[in-house]
Amino acid sequence: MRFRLEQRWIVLALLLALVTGFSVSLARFPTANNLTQLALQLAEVGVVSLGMTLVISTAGIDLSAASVVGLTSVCLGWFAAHDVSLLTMILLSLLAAGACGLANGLLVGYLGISPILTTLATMVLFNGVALAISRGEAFSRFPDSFALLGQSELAPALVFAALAAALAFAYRRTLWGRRVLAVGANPVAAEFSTINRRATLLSVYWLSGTLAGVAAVLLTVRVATAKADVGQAMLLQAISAVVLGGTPLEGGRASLSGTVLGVATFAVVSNGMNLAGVSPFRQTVASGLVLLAAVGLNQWMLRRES
Amino acid sequence: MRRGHELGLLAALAVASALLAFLSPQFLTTANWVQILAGNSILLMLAEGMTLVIISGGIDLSVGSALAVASTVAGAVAVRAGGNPVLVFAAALGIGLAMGGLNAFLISGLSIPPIVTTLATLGIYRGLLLEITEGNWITNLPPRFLAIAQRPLLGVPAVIVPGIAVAAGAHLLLTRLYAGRLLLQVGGHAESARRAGVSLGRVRYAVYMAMGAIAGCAGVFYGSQLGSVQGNAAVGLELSVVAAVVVGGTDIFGGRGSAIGTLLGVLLLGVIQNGLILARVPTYWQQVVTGAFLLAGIVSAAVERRREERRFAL
Repeated sequence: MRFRLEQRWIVLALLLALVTGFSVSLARFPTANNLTQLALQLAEVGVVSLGMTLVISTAGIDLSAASVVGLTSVCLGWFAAHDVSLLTMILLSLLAAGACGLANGLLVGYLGISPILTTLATMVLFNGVALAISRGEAFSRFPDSFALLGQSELAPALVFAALAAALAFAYRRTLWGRRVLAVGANPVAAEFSTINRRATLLSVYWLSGTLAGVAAVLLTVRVATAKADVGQAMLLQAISAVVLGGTPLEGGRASLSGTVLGVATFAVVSNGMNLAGVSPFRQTVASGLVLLAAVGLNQWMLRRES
Repeated sequence: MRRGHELGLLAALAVASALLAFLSPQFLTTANWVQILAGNSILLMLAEGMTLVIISGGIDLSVGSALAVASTVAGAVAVRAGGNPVLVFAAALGIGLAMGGLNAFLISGLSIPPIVTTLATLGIYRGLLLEITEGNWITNLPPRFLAIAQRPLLGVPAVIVPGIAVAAGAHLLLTRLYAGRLLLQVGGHAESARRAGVSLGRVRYAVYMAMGAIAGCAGVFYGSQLGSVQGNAAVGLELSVVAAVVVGGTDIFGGRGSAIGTLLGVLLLGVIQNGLILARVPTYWQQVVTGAFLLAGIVSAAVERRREERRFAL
């Protein structure tokens, strides 16, 4: 078999170069404390990016993911304020996040509305609902058991790793994964192959919503505050990470390992820039440039292939 | 072709207006309507530009950032030039055209998808602006600069005029001019347009630079209307712009749409927002209502399209 230069190998090389560079130049980068912090930040965006990868592989996009993070966080806060027990609280919030995803899936799969439009509208709507529930304020009264969960510093990274492994397995090795791939590659051909396109899309958007909910639980546990706008920065980061990882926006293929590498690259860049004291405005510019470079690279690789 | 959708919007506008007139005696006053028009004129300018971009098969999410950059440049020039309108507009137009040109280069030259390109430049333009201005406001704007949007023209605030002018221009372009045909053709089927001899690159440069020029002009009116200029101006404005275009019935995949539909979409969203304020709905509920309306508009457009397709299939 001929060796094919895949985008994720380039990203892996970039990541290794960044880690080596920061380790040499920044004394505080390779410390256990900083790496734990890095893993914490990485896990939250990472979980959202996993769902985004599958949505993008069906030639869709989920612009409402960050709003679902905010809404789930606010749900957790509301339940905590009404003395619901820890496990019920988390379960109900994840159900709410899944319901948001189902709403997207119904509109995209069953009504045939374009994913950009659907999730643009639900992005506004879900954020509005979160604002209405919280009246624009923050919930910060959480039970002690909740704070205890936040103490375990490695749990988020483990959750992320487990979910990434499970999804990669499901995508590569199960019938469901093949269906997702087929729907993304050619919806008409998929339909003629007796694949239920609508149900497949519904499942993918439900998964994206639920994963955004998981990210919200991780985030809310960490900061012990629930607010409608907590996840806002995650949307751009997640899309950028997926694209950098080599999943094309046209759909038809997905690289979950590439997404993990993409998320890690952005996390390392932002962590390193923070340590180096670069202003947040310049970081915004830098992540925009990285995104452009990533897609430019992606387009170039696609053209080289054909 | 879009006649049905436009009539539907007009009916929705009439129902919303009747309801609001019933709820609040202030709604049907001339002063309130002038305020609705003046408050949404900048949105209208941008939405008409975005209609052209979306019809050509693209999207420009960087308009909010581009407007903020242009209004800051305009403000800085105004302070140094005593508010000379010619210099102010020249500077804002120049920077607007440059930003639109960069978008077009990334989309047409490097073939990066429009949504990714403009999502990235949204961050880049805004980040550079905040880095350079260090978050400072310009508030000592000269009176001649403030007069650009605020002085009365034909009995209404001057800011209303450019909105209507851009809408009229876009309508003329799409219905009467050859360039408008090209836009519809490229958006409807880029490949067949290319084979018919249309230069896709030229159309894309034209449409994104037009959007940049409109954002530049809108930046001048924005700063002049508000009386101050700052780096965090118009954050998230691109969403309202796209929402108005979509509610107006323009197809997000390109190839179909109308300037009149966009005008009605802007008016409908403006009237709803005005009504929510008059009815004293708490601010944190307003977004739910806006989101629900947006969703209703999108769903109704999809249902309508499906019905149309079924008719063609028979």
